[in-house]
Amino acid sequence: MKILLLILAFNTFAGQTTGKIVNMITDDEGIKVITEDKNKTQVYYLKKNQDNFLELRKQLIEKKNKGQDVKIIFIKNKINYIEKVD
Amino acid sequence: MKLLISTIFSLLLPLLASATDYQLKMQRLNSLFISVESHGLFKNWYLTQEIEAEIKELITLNEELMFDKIIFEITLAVMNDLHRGRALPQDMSELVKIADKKNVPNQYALSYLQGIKSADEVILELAPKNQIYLFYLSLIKKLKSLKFTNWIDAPRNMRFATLKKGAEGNPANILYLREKFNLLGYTNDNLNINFDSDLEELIKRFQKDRKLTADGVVGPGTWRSLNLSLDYYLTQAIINLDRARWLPNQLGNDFIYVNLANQNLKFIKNQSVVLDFNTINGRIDRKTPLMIDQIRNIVLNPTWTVPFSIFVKDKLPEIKKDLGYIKRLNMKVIDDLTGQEVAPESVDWNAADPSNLRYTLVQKPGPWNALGFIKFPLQNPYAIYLHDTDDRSLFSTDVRLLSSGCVRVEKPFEMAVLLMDSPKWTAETFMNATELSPTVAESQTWLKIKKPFTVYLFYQTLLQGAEGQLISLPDYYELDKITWEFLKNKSISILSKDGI
Repeated sequence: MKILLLILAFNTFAGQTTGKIVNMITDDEGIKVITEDKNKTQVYYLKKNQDNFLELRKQLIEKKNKGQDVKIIFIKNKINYIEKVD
Repeated sequence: MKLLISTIFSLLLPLLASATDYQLKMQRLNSLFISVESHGLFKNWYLTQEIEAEIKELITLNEELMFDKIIFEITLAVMNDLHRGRALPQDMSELVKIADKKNVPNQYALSYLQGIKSADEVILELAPKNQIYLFYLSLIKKLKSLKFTNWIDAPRNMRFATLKKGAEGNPANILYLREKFNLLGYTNDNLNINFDSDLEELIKRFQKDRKLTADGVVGPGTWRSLNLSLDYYLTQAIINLDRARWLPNQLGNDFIYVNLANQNLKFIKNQSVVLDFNTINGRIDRKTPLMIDQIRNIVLNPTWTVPFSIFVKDKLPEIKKDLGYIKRLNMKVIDDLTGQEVAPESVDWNAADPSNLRYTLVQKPGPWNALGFIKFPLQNPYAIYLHDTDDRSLFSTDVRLLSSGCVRVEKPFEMAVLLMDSPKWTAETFMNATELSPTVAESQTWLKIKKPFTVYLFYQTLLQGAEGQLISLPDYYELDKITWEFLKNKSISILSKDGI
């Protein structure tokens, strides 16, 4: 049990990153957000069943349309799940 | 906030000041309580012991201002609950995507307290008028009348052993079973003590209606459902009535109505049901939200974008093992940076992980496609829509909560014909347009329908069958549970004396 918790703890962590949104792809469960910073591509995911989905979606679309840098705060649990956008 | 409300109230106060008699004001409030009771709103939800004690104290101390304020707040709360629902869509977390109705204006409550409006006028003007609401109103009336006539509960000493054909058990149980069926609208001979084929068929019908295993055996689950008390049905009707307040007064002449609890779709044209069939809805961990939306287009031969989590968890490991997997599932790989299709061989799959997986898997149109041959897009941003399926066998299962949130429809072609509403688009035309052929299967086609078509995704757990059968459905999404919590426990925000 302890080992399992330890593995889970190592697999899940919070992080933040900055970059430009190059694409957003909607599927049945949410939106995949592709960012690029200094030619490095990163993939994040916004789940549609999270409380602030609409608000974050709006912020992301705005940043993408304006070509602005976006700061993404995410929880990594295998997939980088978006928690907050600045 | 308190200051703002106090200021507004002070401004409105002169309008109330003419009615100085406490008794008269209490009478007005009581008349309202009497009128709303048949609408499933009860006095003791508003006049709690605590509030009643407070009112008595204010009368004793002759604190008219505070008394008026409390009476006003309660009146307004009752009116808002009658009009908008006591449990509001916004209280239901992410499960309900329907906008809350507007609040009843303060002036409206004041005009009632001043005697300008009668309780009957309040009911007429504020109570919803949609058919779902009216159905539950009449059902509550019917259930209440049963209470005083011929409702029967199970005898206390009755043992509910399993009954089935060939193992009938105690004849008293069969008589009780038959009588209960009659009460619930499943007409049969209640003097017949035999467990015959007709009774077995009736049991199966009852089980199917209530989403129990339709085996004709009266086991613990069937007994439990049969023995539901009248109070249980009444509570369920009141809960459903409250939710019906979220819907507009007129649902329209033509619309699609999906009951998520019953996993069923009704296509309404000129206010009549022209299509009625099974659906498959979101499973318990991916519930289909309640919403009011529109169909504006039909997509023939749709593609299906594999959700990212499925790509990561299921598909990527398979692709890493065997690149041929992509072709076998009729998928194509799209580069997210360019939006262009790329050859699967050109991607370094072994280096791919979820944080850099800049590819999307799209399933090509065809009979293998998870969305089937027809997709009915909606306008919401949650990627919830209606569609055909590649696995129609699932429609015959009793409980059809199997999707990731979208609604799969059993008769997509018939529905498409009705939506297109044009002699050009018959069931045959649709079949031909979606037949598997190299030209058809390469791309999806968007068709515009004549006018936007309203779709209600709603949740009703108490229904009436075509012959008047009372059908209580399980509360799969636990929306009854949450609604009931709000109905029972919602409190009125009454300012303390310091707030004035």
